[in-house]
Amino acid sequence: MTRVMTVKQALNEALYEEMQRDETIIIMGCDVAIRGNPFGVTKGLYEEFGPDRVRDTPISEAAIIGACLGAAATGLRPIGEILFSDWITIGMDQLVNQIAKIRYMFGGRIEVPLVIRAPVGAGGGQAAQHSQSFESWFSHVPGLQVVLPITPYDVKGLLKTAIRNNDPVLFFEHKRGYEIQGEVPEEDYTIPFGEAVVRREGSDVTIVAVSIMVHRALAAAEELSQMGIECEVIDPRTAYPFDYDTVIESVAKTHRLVVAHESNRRSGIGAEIVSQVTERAFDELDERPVIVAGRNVPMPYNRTLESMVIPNEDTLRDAILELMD
Amino acid sequence: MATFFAMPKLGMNMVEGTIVEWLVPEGETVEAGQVVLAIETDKATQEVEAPASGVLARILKHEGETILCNVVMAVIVEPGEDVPDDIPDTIAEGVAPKADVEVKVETAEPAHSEGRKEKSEQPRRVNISPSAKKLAEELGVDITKVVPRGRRIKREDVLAARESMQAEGGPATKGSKKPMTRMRRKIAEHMNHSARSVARVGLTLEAEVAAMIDWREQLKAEGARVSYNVLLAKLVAVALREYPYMNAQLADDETILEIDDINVGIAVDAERGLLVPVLSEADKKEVTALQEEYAALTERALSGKSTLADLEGGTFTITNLGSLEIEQFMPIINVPECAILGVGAIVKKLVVRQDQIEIQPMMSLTLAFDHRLVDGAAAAKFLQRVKHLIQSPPKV
Amino acid sequence: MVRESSITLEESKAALEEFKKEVLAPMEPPPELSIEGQLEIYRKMAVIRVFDTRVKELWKQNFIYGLAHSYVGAEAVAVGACAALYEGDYITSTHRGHGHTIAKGGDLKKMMAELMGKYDGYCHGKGGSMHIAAVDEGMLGATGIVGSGMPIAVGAGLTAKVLKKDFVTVCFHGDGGTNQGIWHESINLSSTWDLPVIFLCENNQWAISLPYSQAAKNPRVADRAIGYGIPGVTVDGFNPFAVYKAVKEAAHRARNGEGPTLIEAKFYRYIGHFVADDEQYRDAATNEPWGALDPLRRMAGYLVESGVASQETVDAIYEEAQAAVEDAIEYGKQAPEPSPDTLYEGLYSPEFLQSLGEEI
Repeated sequence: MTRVMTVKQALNEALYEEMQRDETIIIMGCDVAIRGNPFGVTKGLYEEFGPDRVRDTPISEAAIIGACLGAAATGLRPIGEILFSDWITIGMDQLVNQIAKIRYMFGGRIEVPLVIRAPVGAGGGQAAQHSQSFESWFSHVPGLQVVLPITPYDVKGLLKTAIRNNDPVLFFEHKRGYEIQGEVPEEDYTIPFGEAVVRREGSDVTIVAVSIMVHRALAAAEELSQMGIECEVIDPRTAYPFDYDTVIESVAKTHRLVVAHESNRRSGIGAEIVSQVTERAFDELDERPVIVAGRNVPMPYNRTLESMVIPNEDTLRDAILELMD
Repeated sequence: MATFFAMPKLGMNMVEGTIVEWLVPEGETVEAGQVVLAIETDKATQEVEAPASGVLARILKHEGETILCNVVMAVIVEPGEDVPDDIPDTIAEGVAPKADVEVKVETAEPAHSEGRKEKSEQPRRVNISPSAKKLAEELGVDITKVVPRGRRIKREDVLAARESMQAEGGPATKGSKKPMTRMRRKIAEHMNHSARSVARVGLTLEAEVAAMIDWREQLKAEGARVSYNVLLAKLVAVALREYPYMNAQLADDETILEIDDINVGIAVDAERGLLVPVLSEADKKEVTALQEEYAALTERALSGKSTLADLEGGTFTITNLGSLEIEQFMPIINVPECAILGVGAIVKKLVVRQDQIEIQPMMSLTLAFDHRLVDGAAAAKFLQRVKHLIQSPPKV
Repeated sequence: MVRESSITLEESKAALEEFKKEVLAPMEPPPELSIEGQLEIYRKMAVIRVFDTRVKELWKQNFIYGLAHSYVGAEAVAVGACAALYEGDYITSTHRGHGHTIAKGGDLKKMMAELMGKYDGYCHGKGGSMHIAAVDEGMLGATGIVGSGMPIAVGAGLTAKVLKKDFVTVCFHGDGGTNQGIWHESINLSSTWDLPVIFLCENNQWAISLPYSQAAKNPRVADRAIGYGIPGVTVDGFNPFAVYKAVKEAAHRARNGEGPTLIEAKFYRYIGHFVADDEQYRDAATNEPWGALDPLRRMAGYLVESGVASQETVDAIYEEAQAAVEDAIEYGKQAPEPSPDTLYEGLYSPEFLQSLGEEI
């Protein structure tokens, strides 16, 4: 039995079910308790599980992230929420120098079962400090795992895996994706990390799209199909661990690779994906690989300028048409 | 301008050469390209040509001397010119005078000449995509003979080259080459797949179409111009409702799926290639409604604007070549459907009816069906029913 | 003005006088501490002294390499604090972690092996001196980032609160850490939520080359507690009993749900910041006046003078300490190097590493 629900509802359900299943799971962050999170993701949890387990914090990102570490190391399974992923920078030392490394530094003798959740992504004039997505930064750090699902089915299954596994996970939700609808089974399920999904089959070009770009890629693919170009759209769902096998299998069929991500192009995750695929499947490429991504500029406030920076289905479609020419 | 004649680098790995003999004395006038010197390298004795025309005014290195490449051996000056005072020991790489005859260049640009000599020693560089290179190896295609459509040889170029290689041999194979469009390739794949996987059997009969012609006239009188294809689609849909096993597909190796909806596709010869827009739920709609849909679908198909929805979901196909005077033909099944109806031209023929000879408009129908799913008699029953419907249409 | 020494002799002497007036406390053991308890305190202090003295020598001989920070002179703080804790309590540490580990009950052999980078070390050779950790003994690891242990202590306090356990966490940090943003965030968060944490500032008055008087306008760290609504107290960091008492009281408060306490244990860093610090930034003479307060000597002196133990006993304890450290050094030297295929061990949970196979 499945029900149709939004990403936001699926997240809420995952949190609710997990917190019920395991009382060492707690949530802390700004506005998570009574307000239920600005997008409503934690709605109802405070009323159900109480102020001990659903905690509003002062504005102290470094302390929130660091306290998650301390709590995880001593018997809790904390979920830290950072209101906008842009502000993880305030807690970078805690995340990169402590959380990512502490198990390793201590020879594996400590466990760090924590999740840091944060919304990512651009649009709506939120400007430079509220529009970023750092999957490339954090998938670069050994010791962290980075997840960015976009469908209700995926967010629920992957959040549960993130909560249940014993490694630190960055869980990035696209802030414009909370209302995306999809089918979610009633029964309990988890989705392993490192498994991509082929969202659309095609034989002319492989599009690896990350987070919200999945939907834009599917829209572009529909248009392109009418022009006789069949795109295969792959949603990797997790930035680290990353499922290269599925991508390579696809490139072996299409011989063309396009990678799409919303965050700006330079040194973004597209660079890593292209380099890995080129290295591993060089002989399958009939065209140079292409990255479609945001422009290398802080997100401007003005609507028109903003739309120039963010890659959408038209940008993607045009890039592919050029590639296929 | 004086030319500093240096030991040329005559090979990739040449480092030095030994002067065997100056073939021309100092002071002699020489032509560019004239052999003036014999040297020995670790390969063999080689001839060296003068890099410029003029007077071999000064010889600096002599027989028996072994000198490194680019070291100046002699100076050539223009007639009447003095030998310059400062003669460099070596000349910079890339500026060395070429030892090639090709230099008939009055302006004698030594800068380019060295490079050109180098290139002739190396294999020609081919721009080719990694995948195309691998494909060429697999197919035994010589990539130096492949002419790319763009800057770089791609897979399609290799494939095209292979085709023409195979075709080459006789004068009859000359012609203009046209790489297959994407759409053509898709159609080719589709047809190939059908031909290879389906157990095709064809059944042919002729139907009397007088009644159908009347029906059409009747509709015209009522203000609706309905095409024969639409009438046929409707009648076929009615028959499919009665014989659901003809509206079936292979779901997997072990399952035949009889599909609930009857969606009849009608083949259209669009400019880009064959398209099959689909009349959905053809059994449930009246012919006038179907005609509207059909008109819109074919318009889009002919102008290249078909949408995905236009083309998907078909469960049976009709293909009609009657307008091109084809009377009968054996179509290929539009997989994964299990049958296709080929319709021929309406032709007046002599028929025997109750032992009397009559002239009747006749239409040939060929049903090609997939014998894996349906047996001959069963298919025949369906075709027979279609014929009966045509001969006495229910006019809906 | 441009200084030649971070502190002048006059400033140093003046600071000492003020210390004696305001902070110095007599060596009075708490009533509940038994004689064994007092001897154990001395023993641990001696072990730390010997251990870190030998570490410096081993570092010069390259048995220990990289960075190492000595706890010599600070023994009273770690040992006094840990003596006041129960089993199950936690501590977080700084870069100067040997003393904390030993005081919390760390095994000398595993410590020495770790410092020598051996697989049998506490961290399987992955951490070395600056990341030494004795997690099973409740020591949540040393860290090289100043102040970064603080939110970890806050998190541990959170666990205690949520799971309704009565363990406390002592957060060791230095005077240098008090000016990190994270110091403020951690104390604020834990005091707001009344978490069972004890913030123990080891004010040895030096942050490498910077004296605390030049790092903060108010030289009394304990004063900052007022801003957070928690008690703050300055104690004699050369005196294990003084530290013991302060921690005991703070732990009591914490276990009662009254939240954190800020304890400033003030003493002096005689030695260099790290083992190879040539201390060019200060005139060696400025350290002299403080030398008289050497905590190990003070403790030994107290034991003998108060009749708790004879000089022989005290000497014997010291010799035992030396022997134990030598054993540990021998153990460390003999212990095997980690094999190359342990490189990725500990990077993630074992189940995840296994799922990756060859692909890291």
